[in-house]
Amino acid sequence: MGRYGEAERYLNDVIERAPEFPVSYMFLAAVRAAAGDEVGARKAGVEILKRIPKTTATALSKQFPYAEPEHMDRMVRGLRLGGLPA
Amino acid sequence: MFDRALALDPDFAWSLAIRSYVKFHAWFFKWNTAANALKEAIGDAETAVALNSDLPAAHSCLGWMYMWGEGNGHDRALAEHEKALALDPNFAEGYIWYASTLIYSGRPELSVEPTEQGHAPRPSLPANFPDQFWQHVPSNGSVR
Repeated sequence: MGRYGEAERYLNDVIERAPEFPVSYMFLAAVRAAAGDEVGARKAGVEILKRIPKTTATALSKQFPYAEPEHMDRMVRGLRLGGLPA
Repeated sequence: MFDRALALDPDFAWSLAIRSYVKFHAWFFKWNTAANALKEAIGDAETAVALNSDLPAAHSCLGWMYMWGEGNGHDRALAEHEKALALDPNFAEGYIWYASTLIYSGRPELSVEPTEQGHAPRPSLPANFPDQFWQHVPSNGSVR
């Protein structure tokens, strides 16, 4: 669908209401990476690692039950661009 | 808190359903690394449905977890969410879970409408789950 600006607005709203929910930062990293915002993705990655310090992009992405490999790839790319260890 | 409620009333289906979701997140974030952690969460949700098949939250929790169970059961998950919403067409959280499941199932274009339906009755609802739960989860993952 590619509506990244809209997606980021909703995610920021969720984060404001529930700042400790780690998944919001994972989606934020994926959205920013897809939009080409590498600095933003990295900031989201820092927030993920604050909440789940010993994780990796591979381990986290395996937790998402995407049926479509293309959708999973977007998440993995976001987490990697976010600075999570591979 | 849910354990205490269930000690007082082991057949309290709502508490079992929500405890299943807490256990699910403990598994998801590796706060509980026991081999049977997910199975235990699904077991709570299945028991909640068995105790009260008219409880929308029980079907939604079960539907959510079926996606991670054996065989990535997206279709089974969607069926549980549809049961929940048939039981309560105003179940805001149910629409959000349903929408998320559609996204994971590879049908994001179908998720917009249920997302909007979920936000209409509860505009303050975060996109995933009641924020009241997350307010009780500090950054180290332990549940107060």
